Amino acid sequence: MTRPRLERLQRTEPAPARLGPQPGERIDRATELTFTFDGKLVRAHPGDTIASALFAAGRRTFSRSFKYHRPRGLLCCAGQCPNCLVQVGDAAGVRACTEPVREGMEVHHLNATPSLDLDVMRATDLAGGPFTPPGFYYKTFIRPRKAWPLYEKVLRSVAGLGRIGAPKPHRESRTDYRRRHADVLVVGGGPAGLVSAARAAELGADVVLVDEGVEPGGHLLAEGRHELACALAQRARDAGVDLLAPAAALGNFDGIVPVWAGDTLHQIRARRQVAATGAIEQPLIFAGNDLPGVMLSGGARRLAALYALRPGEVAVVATCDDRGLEAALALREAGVRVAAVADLRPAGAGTAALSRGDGSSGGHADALRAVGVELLHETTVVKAEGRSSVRAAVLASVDPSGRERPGTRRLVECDLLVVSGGEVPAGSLLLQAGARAVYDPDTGRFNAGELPEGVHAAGAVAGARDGVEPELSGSAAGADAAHALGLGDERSRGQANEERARLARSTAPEAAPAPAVVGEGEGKCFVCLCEDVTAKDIAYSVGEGFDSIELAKRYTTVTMGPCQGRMCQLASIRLMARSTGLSLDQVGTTTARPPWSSVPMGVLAGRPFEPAKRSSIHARHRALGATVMWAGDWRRAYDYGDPEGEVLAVHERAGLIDVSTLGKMILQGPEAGAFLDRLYPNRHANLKVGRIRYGVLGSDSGRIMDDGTICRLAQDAFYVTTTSSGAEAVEGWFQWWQTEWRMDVRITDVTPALAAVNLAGPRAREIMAALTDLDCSNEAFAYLDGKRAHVAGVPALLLRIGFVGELGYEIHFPAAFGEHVWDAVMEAGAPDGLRPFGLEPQRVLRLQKMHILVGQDTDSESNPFDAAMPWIVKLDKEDDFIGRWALEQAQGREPVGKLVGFTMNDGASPNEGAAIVVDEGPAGRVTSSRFSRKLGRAIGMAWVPPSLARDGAAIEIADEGRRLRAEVTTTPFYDPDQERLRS
Amino acid sequence: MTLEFLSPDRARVQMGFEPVARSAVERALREAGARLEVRDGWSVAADFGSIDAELRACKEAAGIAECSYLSKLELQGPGDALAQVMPAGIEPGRSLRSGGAWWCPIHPERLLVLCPASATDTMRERLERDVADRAGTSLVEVTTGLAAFTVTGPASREILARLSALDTRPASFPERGFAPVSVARIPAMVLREGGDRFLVLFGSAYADYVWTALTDAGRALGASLVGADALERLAEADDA
Amino acid sequence: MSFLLTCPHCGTREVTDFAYGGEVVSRPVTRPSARALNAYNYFRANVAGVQREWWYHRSGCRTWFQAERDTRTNEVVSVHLPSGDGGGRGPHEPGAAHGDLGGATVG
Repeated sequence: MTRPRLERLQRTEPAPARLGPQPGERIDRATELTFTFDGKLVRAHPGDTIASALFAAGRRTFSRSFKYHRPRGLLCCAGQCPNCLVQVGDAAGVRACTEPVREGMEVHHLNATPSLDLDVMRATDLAGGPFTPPGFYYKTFIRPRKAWPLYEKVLRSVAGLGRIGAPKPHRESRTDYRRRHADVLVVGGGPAGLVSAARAAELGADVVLVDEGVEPGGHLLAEGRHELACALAQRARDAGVDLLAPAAALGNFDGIVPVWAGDTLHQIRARRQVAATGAIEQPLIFAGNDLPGVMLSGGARRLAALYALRPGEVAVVATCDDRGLEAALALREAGVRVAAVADLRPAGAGTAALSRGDGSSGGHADALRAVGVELLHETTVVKAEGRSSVRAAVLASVDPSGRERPGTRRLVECDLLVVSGGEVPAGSLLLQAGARAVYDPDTGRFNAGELPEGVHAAGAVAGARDGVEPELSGSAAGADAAHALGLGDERSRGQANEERARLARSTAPEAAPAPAVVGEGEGKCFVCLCEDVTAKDIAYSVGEGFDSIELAKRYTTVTMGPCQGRMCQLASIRLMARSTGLSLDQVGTTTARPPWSSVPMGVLAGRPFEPAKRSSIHARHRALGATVMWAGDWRRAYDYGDPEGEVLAVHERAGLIDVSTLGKMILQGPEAGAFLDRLYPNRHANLKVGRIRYGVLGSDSGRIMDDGTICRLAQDAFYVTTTSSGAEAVEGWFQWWQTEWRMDVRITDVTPALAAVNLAGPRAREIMAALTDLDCSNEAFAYLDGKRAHVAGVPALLLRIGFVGELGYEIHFPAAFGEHVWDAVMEAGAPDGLRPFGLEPQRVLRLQKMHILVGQDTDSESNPFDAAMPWIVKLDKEDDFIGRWALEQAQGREPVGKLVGFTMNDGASPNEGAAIVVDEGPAGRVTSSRFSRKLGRAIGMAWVPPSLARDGAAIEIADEGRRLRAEVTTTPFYDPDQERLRS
Repeated sequence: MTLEFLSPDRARVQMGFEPVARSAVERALREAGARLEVRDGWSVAADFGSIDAELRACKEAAGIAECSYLSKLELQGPGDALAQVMPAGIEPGRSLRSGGAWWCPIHPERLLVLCPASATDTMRERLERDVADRAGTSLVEVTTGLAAFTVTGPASREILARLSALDTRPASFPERGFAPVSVARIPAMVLREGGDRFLVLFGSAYADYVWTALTDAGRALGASLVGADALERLAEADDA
Repeated sequence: MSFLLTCPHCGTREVTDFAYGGEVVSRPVTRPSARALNAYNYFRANVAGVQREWWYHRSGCRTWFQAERDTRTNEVVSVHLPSGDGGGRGPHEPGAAHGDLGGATVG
């Protein structure tokens, strides 16, 4: 392979070459591709990750830490830790160790100025260390307060990681949701997950398996057991398992597991879930434990097994279980000289015969000794020496409680320090599903306790023993899931029982608990790599009184970074226990919350669903230059550019407004009239066929909920309209009472079926004559008549109502003719000066008539008496109706306020919401306020004390520091005698 | 008829006006290259240039078609009375194809009947007679109240999965399945007309919004717009 | 919150397909005292446990039904259609808090 001219490499680091072909290696050596890192060309093979390619090119520092800007190198190589976060194109926070290389991709480092290898902000580490404890920012940058804008500017420039790309044109960047139903969802594609998925599918279940890796196999891949991984994956595929990878399960939301894969968020709803999420190898906490060159055993093995990379020249291994010993053997195979292995366990550990027979007679300890590797017991690493990478490890003997034995130190030179601090189960999904974290004193870890209904666990996440026998555990869990769905038979049940019995006989691996921290006082001992929290910081926060794990988490931000506690949760619990004197059990864990894996915000956003209702005439409004706005769920025309002119057109000639948004219902049945009489405070059963009546819908508390018109179409059929935004709620209200009453009436919502336009103004009658052969004379078609006729050839229902205070016809007709009828009316009205008008002119027109706007002029306490509509309440009705009792009480009670109209004395319109002031105290409020060109003055509606609710009363309005004077009016401002309506 | 103003087929040439019923997404269809033709009073997208290509799309990925011109009649009444009106064999959640119409049970006391625009008059008259004879029943035409889009082809389930939480696995939602359920976050009804052919019905005021969401999701999965003629051929093939 | 709810007609759906209608409360049969009326209109038990409540299959068949749900866990114990015996009270009233601009009045 050609050595890339990446950049000047640190001279102390010998250039590693790729190893010879490895049995399970992922790279395609025959092909080469290139990408750039910080603008410089890097060569790679297909199958490489960004990290493996950079590592092959000699790079050891991959990022600078969050707070102290310390150099960080590869640690886990499994997408668990924050050490290799990079920027790829516009995407920030990409994990270099799992992100496959693509030809031409542009990769940049994060959080370092000017470069990764020379970061001036490192000064915060070298100088500021002792002065920047947790809470430093909050405590320091608050004084003097005036300086905050400056602080903010500086802090912003140093805070955060990565940058967000420039906004993209609409929908160029596409993410999507996808719903997937399944019988069984298996999370995790290690041996336990693969076998449980295969088993459940073999028993007839529809199974989805999701795995974070680019190929399934989990820890088998790092261990060089590629063939087994392939065989298990093949078994799953053959059984019909739907395998999603790479795909990250993000959490458990009441049974929905969102899974991120590429540009899609799969929302998986399965009847049973199997968590086979494995366990996460933990680092050790010692001085300098974050130096590049310190690597988890799994990370070092992955580099060698998957990418054929020698992780170092000379290694020291520090471990607390067999994992480290296995790693030492594997690294030796990969050509790494293992200088020493420090095992926390006492002598004799690691010699038990291996449970997975691989031919050797003894344990790993014996194998190591056989090849002459020095194995030290009750020993661990207390310090990593080196400035920008590991140069040597300081080993020391520790007692069983984790304290260093004085005088036992020795320095071992190395450029690779392999650490293995035991494992924690990756149980977040189980805990999110409702399981509790239970401390297991035998293994020193927190396991998921009793699992909630519908949830299973397999492999290491289920327990240390299950981790030893992942396939057995997976098979049993897969069978359990299938059996719970009613699949399987006696034989499969018998097999599952036998598997469970065998699992019970297996033994957990011998492990020593890792000490909370060693080497304190000799350098920073990091517990949280994401947020740069040290062991000392935890003790400090306990000293400050944040002595519960949940408080310390929020104060120090430990476990809150990109790793979501994967690397630090157990360690922070151990440190809390040490500082508080409590047991691990008493300290407990923090609550497991989604997301379990990092996910781009854009993926969570998904497809932008923004339901919008549009009338069938909508395109016409746009073409006419309307300003379109939201009105409830609808997109509506606010005005056509000249609201005042539109108002005057209605008064003087004619105007046309699209009111298709009105709620519309058909009520049919012999009891339809009686049904309405029970719902409305006024009478409808005695309405004559072909006549219209106004209705105010009230609740049992007497409150005004909605208003509209009711037209009797036939003896047993009514047409009911509601407000636009109240339509759905009123239909639900009607349906609810019908559910209770079971009357002989049928309710059908026809809101979207019918378009409706209101033609109003003194010329409306002439315009109608050009559109219909119906006799529209005042005698034949009187005010409050409802008629059926063809308008412009379209079947329609015509309601003659006073919607905006002038002679008017509301035309309701099948929505599919929306534009046809609109065009016909506009054309017919052109000679008469007809203009379209929008919502704003309508608001002015209706205010002039003092028509209340439910929800604007009324609130959750307004009843018809107080809202100046006592005439609508017919308490002399024989039978009960909704709200009757509350209205009876309201009638005999002095109200707190009354709704009245007002006219401004000096012309200025107050803001809606301005206060009515009496004796310098608030006594009411303005609910509607507009300037009326027609009337030549500002008018409005307001709630005022009852004593002021009389014509001519003077009121004072406090509005944004101004005091305005107005006069109360109780009759409509315009055409109070309704002459124009009836003309 | 009392509710004539709900029936688009009652429109007629009058006073020089020639009304044509139009889909709320007619503009989008035209822009996508539809050949529009007036059929039974509706402006219908007959094809998008090549029926063969449209049929191929339906076979290989998916076809999306606008079918709001279908007539929709809603029957309401007590379950036992409705049972006398509708053909035998309708069970909860399963519709039935009979007499050229789809009979879809919304719930035991509410039934939606879908038929071609050409058959509206006959079907409506028949149902009107039926409800006139039975106490507690009634009929309302909701043709223009419900927009209807067809999604057909091997990718149809994937497209629906982008828009709805409905479980369309055949075991849960077999052929003739009928489900009132939200689609694209609005109230809708889904009818599985055939193996991978779905008809989605919803309030017509949302037509523009749903069309955008559906075609956008479909495009990413290789769907093409198809016209009424291709759809008819598919239905014929089904019936054969 | 994304639990499943089973409509007595349509079967199981996401809870987002439904509208919540509040606790089931009995409407007085005869004219109540002021105190009883206020209790009926404004007081709710708000139990931490299983309560009987109204649900509306808003995005589905548009049927009102009742569910017994544990308010602590969202576990739905049972669902059923109401008996229609008249003993009950309206669900959450249609909201008045919207700035509606499309009202119709003939006043």
